Amino acid sequence: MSPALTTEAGLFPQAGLYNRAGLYLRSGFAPLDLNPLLAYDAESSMVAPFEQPTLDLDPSNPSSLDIITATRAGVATYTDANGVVQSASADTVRVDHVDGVPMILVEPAATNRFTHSEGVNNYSNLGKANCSYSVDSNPFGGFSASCKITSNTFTSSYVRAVLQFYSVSGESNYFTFRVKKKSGWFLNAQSGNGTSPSSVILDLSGAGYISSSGTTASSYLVKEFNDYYLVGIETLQTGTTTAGLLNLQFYNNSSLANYDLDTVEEFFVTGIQWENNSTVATSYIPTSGSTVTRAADNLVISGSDFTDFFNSGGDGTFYAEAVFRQDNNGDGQSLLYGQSLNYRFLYGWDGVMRAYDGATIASTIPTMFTVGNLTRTAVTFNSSTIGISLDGSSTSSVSHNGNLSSANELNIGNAPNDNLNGHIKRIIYWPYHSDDL
Amino acid sequence: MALNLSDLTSPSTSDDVLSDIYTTADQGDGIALMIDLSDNEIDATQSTALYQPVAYVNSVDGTFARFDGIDDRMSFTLASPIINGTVFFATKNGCHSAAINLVAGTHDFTANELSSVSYGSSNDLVALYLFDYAVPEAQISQLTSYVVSKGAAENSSP
Repeated sequence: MSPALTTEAGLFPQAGLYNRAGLYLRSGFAPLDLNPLLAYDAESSMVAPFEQPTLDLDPSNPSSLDIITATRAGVATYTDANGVVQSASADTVRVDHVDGVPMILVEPAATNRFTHSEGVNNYSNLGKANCSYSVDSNPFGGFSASCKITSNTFTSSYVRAVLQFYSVSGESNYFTFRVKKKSGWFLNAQSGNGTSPSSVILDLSGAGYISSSGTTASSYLVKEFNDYYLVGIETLQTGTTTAGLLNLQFYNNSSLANYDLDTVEEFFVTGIQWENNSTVATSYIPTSGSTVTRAADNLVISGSDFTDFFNSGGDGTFYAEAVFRQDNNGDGQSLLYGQSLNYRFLYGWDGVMRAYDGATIASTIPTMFTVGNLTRTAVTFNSSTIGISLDGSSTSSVSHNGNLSSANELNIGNAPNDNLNGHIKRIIYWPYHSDDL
Repeated sequence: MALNLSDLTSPSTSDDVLSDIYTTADQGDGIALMIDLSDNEIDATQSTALYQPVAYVNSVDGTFARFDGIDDRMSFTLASPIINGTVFFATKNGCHSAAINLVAGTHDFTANELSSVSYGSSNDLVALYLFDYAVPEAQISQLTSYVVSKGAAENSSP
């Protein structure tokens, strides 16, 4: 092994300052430049016993996840570091990338009811107001075919692609699709049938989201990745008929005014997903002729893998970083769960974090997390007390019956009736209680 | 740093929360782990509290690991032997570099000893580097200047 940045004589040949012996003095010198086999520096290396975790699940270090036993029937998708949708085999932990950051993806079961995500032209209920649909050879994210919407020329109108779906009045539907950027063009995506359809408007030139409106105006999604935008739009079916619409309206002006089109234009819309009775988007579920259901993720550390890190019968502290898609869903959003409802280390409930030992609830109220934002939360316990904190809040403490310290497995994100729908960036466990107790 | 939930979950905490905790040992703590800052992850450990050196982190004394000179020691494990390598001790009363050969396996060290070979007499370790090649004198000088800026003494006391 050779030292970095040196000549054979061991001198630094760069222009700059030299000492009296003629040696180069680089202001930014660091010992690691010399490529040591090992380096202990008291300033950075010293760790006291209390601070050593026995579990550190860090998706940026994939081997740290090997301790997890994953169960999920069938394949599912995730986004890799390059923003490309990839397929994950059954029974694997999915490491999804959120804005380039690797995180564990945990989702409940979901179904894509749009039966032809592989090619919108194969979908039977298309409105063809002034355009045609076809499959494009340019793949979406290396995973699924892209769909091409080709306009006709016209006078005083706009390019309008319509997909019709059938839903029941009162149901929520969540649509997601990917639309390719196109300089000088704007998209008004409308969803729903009846009063106040939802609408999301974005600038396809690169500026992205502009506005939203309608019954579920706050429940939208616009994310940029590579040459595409991922767009999500929720609609509450309020019409008396069972038919709903997903209207994609393309304009060449920001005021969304009608215009004359003398040229034929192409738009790429792909990865279409329709989740019925859902208020959030989940990961892409490819379809090709029929609806497809993605099974729930089930991640657990049990047996000797659990007892190897857990201080059974003793004190403990869990720390977690997560991004919730929902603040509740039935019985909450589980992050860390033991073997039953009486062993709930951390879960979201109406925007606060909770722990529950079967007798007492510890809660971070009034401190709440924000859906879609990275949340930092921690729980600590000894034989008599549970403490919990969220995003820097003071530790809130309640009495503890000892259940948490007698857990015999750790479920990550999954739990009966309160499966997490979101991402986990980090989980750390120390076999000690914190100084707060 | 002591484990405190509100500190731990604070939005101002670094994304790499674990590193934050690692880099801030408190004054007087026993040292159970010394993290290898190279990419080789050859961390040194001491699981027995009785044998752990003590962290000094204060503006008066500086930052270093104090071994008791009796039985405190840390140990690391080499997967491969070192032949014609270099060891560099930076301590509160001097820096010492020497050629070294080490077999694969576990090696103990203190502030003045590695694998039963002595290097100076200080009990206060500021830094320890091990190279698997013969480091030229010019770079030993650079390394010395660096560790002196971190509180080590340049010349060894007799």
